[in-house]
Amino acid sequence: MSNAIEIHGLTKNYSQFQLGPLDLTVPRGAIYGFVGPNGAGKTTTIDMLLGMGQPDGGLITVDGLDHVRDEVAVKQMIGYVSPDLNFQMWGKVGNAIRFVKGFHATWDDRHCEHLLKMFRIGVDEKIATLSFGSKIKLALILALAWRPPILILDEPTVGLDAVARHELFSELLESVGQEDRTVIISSHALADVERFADRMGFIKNGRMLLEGETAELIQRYRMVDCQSNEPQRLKQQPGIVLAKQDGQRCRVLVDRGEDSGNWLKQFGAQPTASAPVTLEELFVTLAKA
Amino acid sequence: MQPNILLLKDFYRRWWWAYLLGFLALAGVGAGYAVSKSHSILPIGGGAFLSAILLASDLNFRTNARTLLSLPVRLTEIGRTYWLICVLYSALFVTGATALGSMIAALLGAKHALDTGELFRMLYLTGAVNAIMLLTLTYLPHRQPENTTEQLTGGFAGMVWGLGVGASFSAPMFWPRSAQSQQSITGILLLAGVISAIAAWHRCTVMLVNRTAPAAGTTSKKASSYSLSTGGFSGLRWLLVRTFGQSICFSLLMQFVLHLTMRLMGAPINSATMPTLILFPVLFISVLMLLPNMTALRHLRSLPLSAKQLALLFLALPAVSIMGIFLTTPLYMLFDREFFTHFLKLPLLVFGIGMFCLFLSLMLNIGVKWGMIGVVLVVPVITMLAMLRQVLHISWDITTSPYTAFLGLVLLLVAYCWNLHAIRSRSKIYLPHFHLMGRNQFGG
Repeated sequence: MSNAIEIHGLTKNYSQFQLGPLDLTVPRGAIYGFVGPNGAGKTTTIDMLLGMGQPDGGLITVDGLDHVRDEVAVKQMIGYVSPDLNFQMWGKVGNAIRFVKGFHATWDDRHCEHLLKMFRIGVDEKIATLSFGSKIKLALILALAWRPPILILDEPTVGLDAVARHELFSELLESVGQEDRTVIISSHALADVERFADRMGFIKNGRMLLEGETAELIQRYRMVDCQSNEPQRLKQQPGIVLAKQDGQRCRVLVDRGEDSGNWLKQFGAQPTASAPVTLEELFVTLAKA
Repeated sequence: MQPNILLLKDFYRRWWWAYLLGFLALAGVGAGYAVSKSHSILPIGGGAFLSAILLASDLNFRTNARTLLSLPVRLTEIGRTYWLICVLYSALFVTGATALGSMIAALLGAKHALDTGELFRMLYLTGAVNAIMLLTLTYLPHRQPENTTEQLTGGFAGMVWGLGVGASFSAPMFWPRSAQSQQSITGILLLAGVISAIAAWHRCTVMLVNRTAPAAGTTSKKASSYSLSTGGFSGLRWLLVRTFGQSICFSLLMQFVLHLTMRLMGAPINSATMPTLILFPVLFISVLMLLPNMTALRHLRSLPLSAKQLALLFLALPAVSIMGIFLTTPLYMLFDREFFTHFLKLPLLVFGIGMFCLFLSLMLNIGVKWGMIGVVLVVPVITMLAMLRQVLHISWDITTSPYTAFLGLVLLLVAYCWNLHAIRSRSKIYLPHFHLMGRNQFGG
């Protein structure tokens, strides 16, 4: 499977934040969950991809095309949704649709009408008076109505209620199921993406901590309770993250699959229990470490 | 009638840059008066900008009313603090800044420093205009109307607000010459001002409560149409045509207001007042038409447009807007054919577009407030150059000179390069609201 998006060694320096060096790979047709705490660098990474700011280093390619040299061709493939998009200047929903459709030869009026009905947004409604959730839905309509091969959703569920969230993901799954579409969902809420993403990347403080197939990530890690005279020694080992410590009793996240317990013994630890991790445990432990 | 000091500090801390801008402009106007003794430049409208217009932005775009109402401060105290900011303090500020400019010019040799009587008149007229604008603000619609009464009240207030903004800026420029006309206009304004001040004193709290009502977004919406209209322009062509059409409409409306004001005041329509009649709509409408595009930069950048195309778009939009406004200027021929033929010259048009594009580039590169301050600082430089031209007895007509057109083209080129730089490199400009009002997660 060739890659829809490849990012190698991406860096961007701000006065109080440094992104990267960051590597990220999204295979074609995958639903990629780009997860990390607030301020981790998710939006900055997406912004760099879309040309909203200049990276200090690194290479970004979309379907083999350079994101700067071929920026128009790249954006002809990407539908983008973000709560930070402001459509107010178009006045009415119909105007925003009229404007955006002019940029996409593959725009499908019937699909757009279907989406408008599904999200209950009328073409004559004023954008300024739409609720926050409805504005996100409008962004989604504008991004989906031309059936882009790549869809980037940056925190799409912020401000959405449970029903709207369900509708969003239903539509998303439907659209991905019908077509060979690559989707990146960036979110700080793991629950939003873990059910749908077949591949995930964990980012923290501008660095990618973990990336891989969702099922593989869950299999790779175990949460192990153990006794250790030297908890600090455990902490220093690559592949081990100290999740909790109470005297000699420790709970550690180990990157050795089912063999994790045995592997810990070589560092002087005595495992007492070992259990598979949920994605949330994995994410929280890595985020806190 | 004690204002809440914390609220005062908060307001001025957030809008210091607008007051700095106002101070520079007003001091310049005061100095200009001291040189020319032209009442047409006295800044009654400056008070409206630094009070009710600023307050409207404050309450509309920052969801500030909700924050204010959650504070442990009495509602009446908040409302009346804002009344004082709007009606009294801004009138004092306007008068003080103008007086200071006039005094400095007088110290440097100008002959017509504002006297106490003129300053006092400016104080109470500015206060009266501010009070009228504040009262109108309390009736402005803040959400979708739910019934016909709300629709009518909101529509009427909106119309008065629009006319008031235009008239408060333009009225001083056409101040009548005869003492009798001056007295009657002053009397009418004062009466309206006093009534508005009393009414606004009581309406301020209602205004704050109204502003906390949700803009919309209830689940029980009326059935809407989901059918898309086909045909017509779309994409960039639609945007340019829309900007052009709206500029023409706004320009016609503003010209109507300006001419109506002049007629009511019995003001002369001649070569001295004509530049104002054209330049004011150009500046006001261009800003009105173009700032929203900047708030949508994130969306524009995500579309399949290259950085170069986007940089060009920010030259094309002002050009189209200003050309739309200029197209409506033949109306002026009804008043002064000679002036019109002198004024509407290609070099001047090119220079005007170049200047405005540069103004937009400044805002993209250094931010809206610093861009505006930068542009205001340009005004004294141009004034000095004009004075220098007189001193050096340079006689060429800037409206027809090829140098003016050349300078306009240079400005356009510089603006294009700056736009391109900002679009490619400045991540800040893609933040919501163009970083003008701060990061507002809920979209204003």
